[in-house]
Amino acid sequence: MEHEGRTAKLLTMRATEYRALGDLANAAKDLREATQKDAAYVPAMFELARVLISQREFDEAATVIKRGIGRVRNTPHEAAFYMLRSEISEARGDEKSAAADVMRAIGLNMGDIEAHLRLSRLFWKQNLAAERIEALHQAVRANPGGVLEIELTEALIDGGLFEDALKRIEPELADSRFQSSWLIRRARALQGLERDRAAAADLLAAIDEIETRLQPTREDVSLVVDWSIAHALLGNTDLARDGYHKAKSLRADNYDLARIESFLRNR
Amino acid sequence: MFAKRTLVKLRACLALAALFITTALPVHASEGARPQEAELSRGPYLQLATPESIVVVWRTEGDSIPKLRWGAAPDKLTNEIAAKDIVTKVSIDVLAPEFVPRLYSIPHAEDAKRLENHRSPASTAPNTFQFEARITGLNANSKYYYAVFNGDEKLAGGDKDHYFRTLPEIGKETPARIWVVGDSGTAGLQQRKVFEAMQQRVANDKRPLDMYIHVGDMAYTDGTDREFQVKFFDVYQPTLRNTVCWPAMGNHEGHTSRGESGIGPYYDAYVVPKRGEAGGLASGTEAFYSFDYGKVHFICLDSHDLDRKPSGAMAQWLKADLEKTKADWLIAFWHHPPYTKGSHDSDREGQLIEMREHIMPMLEAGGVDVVLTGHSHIYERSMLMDGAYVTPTVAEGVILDDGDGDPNGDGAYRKSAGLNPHEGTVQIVAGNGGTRLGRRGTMPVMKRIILEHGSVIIDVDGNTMKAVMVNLDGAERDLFHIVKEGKVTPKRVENPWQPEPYTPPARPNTQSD
Repeated sequence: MEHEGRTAKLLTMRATEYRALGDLANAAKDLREATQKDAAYVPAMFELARVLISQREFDEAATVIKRGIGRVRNTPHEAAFYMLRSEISEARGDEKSAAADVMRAIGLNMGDIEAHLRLSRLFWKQNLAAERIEALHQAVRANPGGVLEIELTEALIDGGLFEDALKRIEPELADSRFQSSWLIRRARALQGLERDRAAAADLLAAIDEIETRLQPTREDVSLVVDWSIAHALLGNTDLARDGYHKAKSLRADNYDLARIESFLRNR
Repeated sequence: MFAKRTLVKLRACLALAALFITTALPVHASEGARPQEAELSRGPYLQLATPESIVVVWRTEGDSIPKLRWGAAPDKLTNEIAAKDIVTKVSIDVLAPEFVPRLYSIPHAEDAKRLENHRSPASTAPNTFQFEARITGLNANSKYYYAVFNGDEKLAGGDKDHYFRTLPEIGKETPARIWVVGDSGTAGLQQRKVFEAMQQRVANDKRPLDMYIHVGDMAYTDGTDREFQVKFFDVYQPTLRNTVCWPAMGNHEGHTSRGESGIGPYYDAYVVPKRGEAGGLASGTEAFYSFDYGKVHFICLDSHDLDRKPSGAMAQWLKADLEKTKADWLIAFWHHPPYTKGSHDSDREGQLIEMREHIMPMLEAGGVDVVLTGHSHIYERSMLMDGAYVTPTVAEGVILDDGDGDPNGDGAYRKSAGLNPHEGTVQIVAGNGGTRLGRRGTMPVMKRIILEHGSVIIDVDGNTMKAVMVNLDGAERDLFHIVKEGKVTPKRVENPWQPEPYTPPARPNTQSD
């Protein structure tokens, strides 16, 4: 800045560093200045919206995003702004608008796995099982990959298509070193088919494996979530709740916590 | 003053004019037609090796009729891949059918601004043609020679330096030699000396590299196409033409490339596995991926601009990939180090903290052996450690072996055979590949903290991994071994050895790249 002055680009770069350091107030300050200096500088707008969302300043963030979308129409950046706007809608509890924005983003960038995953979870929150399965089938056709394949298997189970799910689960189980997450999926499908004894055996095997992988002093939150779900499915409500609280203390994502809650409820 | 400003503007106008001029060539001239004059402008270099295939990439300025020949010897290139089977990508100015993929570009006005600020244009140079030839049906772990052509005119290759070796069969024990570099992309003297020191070491050992891992920041300042050319491809071409570089995106590449869209000069430069082509679980993106080299599983993550939380797509993929691998060794790499007090501080910076708090627990539950990173412009190498996820990082309760890992010193680090959860990881920060060095403090889990330019060479052979840091003068400045055999029960060291506290020089030598 000493040589080039407080340009929009340099202010944005500094703001990115501030954000990385967790100093959102200074990041927002630099970014507001950057957008004033150069109203057409898209990276500053994008970064400012992101920081404002982290600060839960949703109204101002929405205004910045609207301006940003106007600037980047028909470019790959447009999708990124829709994804940001969907975060605001979801935080406000408007999952329908959030899903609509994610779909807009996917329309512009079919390859974005995060967007497909977000859409699937928004559909799950709204109990739109058929829409979720259809969207994931399309996503997997367009861009096959492990994450979306797994999400599709989960969606099939959630949607009651247990046999279809089992067809996908069996080869994965046979081909996995650690099997706990696939055992839990199979147990869920088996429970759907009222084969409770086989499901319980899978769940107990999953719990055993998870416990050998948990770090004694600070656990991998994704394993804690699986452990809690397995207990919820077994009907071990107290243990499942312990897992839920542990996962929460390890800052598990709201989606994961909501999944545990749903299994506790459904049990 | 006025003249200088005018000159800058004139330069900007000329560059823009060049961007606007279309080449009006078909893509590409039909086979059998007379080839155009075309100059090799990048490569050829190797990408996406598998046990039965490999991708050779090159660029020309001006259209050409691309052709690749390959075979068992430089003078026996008996096989051919013709233009119709070669993927062609072009710069935005080239007149080409809509289905032809375009190389990265930004609006002309933004490039003009960059030029005014003495920065290289972000867009790919006009009249650029990139060719990606995928050779299939090869034998595993086999050496082949190749050459690239414009029609019948040889552009490069057909000699002893242009060769490739396919990956060994997945799961088959095969020795691997890996070169690891980070934060090198300056085109400066230090970068070149680090490269030469590695070449010299490899020549002395008479053991060539099997792969090259770059942990990011390979093209300062903004990862533009031009910066990639000058600061990466021009420097490393002697290695890139016969050794696959497996990249991780750094924050500087992130100035122009984006993980979620897979667009930018970084993504133009590399072809990495999205579909599990080289082993591992299909990621569906080039931003993160995995591959197998014999019994070694490699995982590359994007620590820069993707969601690092456990519920995000990258971590979900990582979890599933770790569940699947049956390798004996696991090496993970990305840009932002989970543990450092070099030119960056992992106790304070968001991306570094998130990689430690969210990603490291998954990796250690999956049995990771070594984590390779950069970003912090220093060489730091940890003791054998596990479970250090809290912030700030402390050594108490997380060190499994506080020795130096040197068989001639405190002894090699020991782990059970195969991949087992929480038996210890060695963290290597290799951000000393060329740019200005810096240090802010002492990371208590580190065994070695060395403020010298250099790079890391790792050899994996059977149950032993050997790693050395070679500085820019060719001196071996660190060495450790990991031996995996039998059953080892990890025990936490009660009062682990601690590195000396850092006393900063009178004027701190830091840089926030």
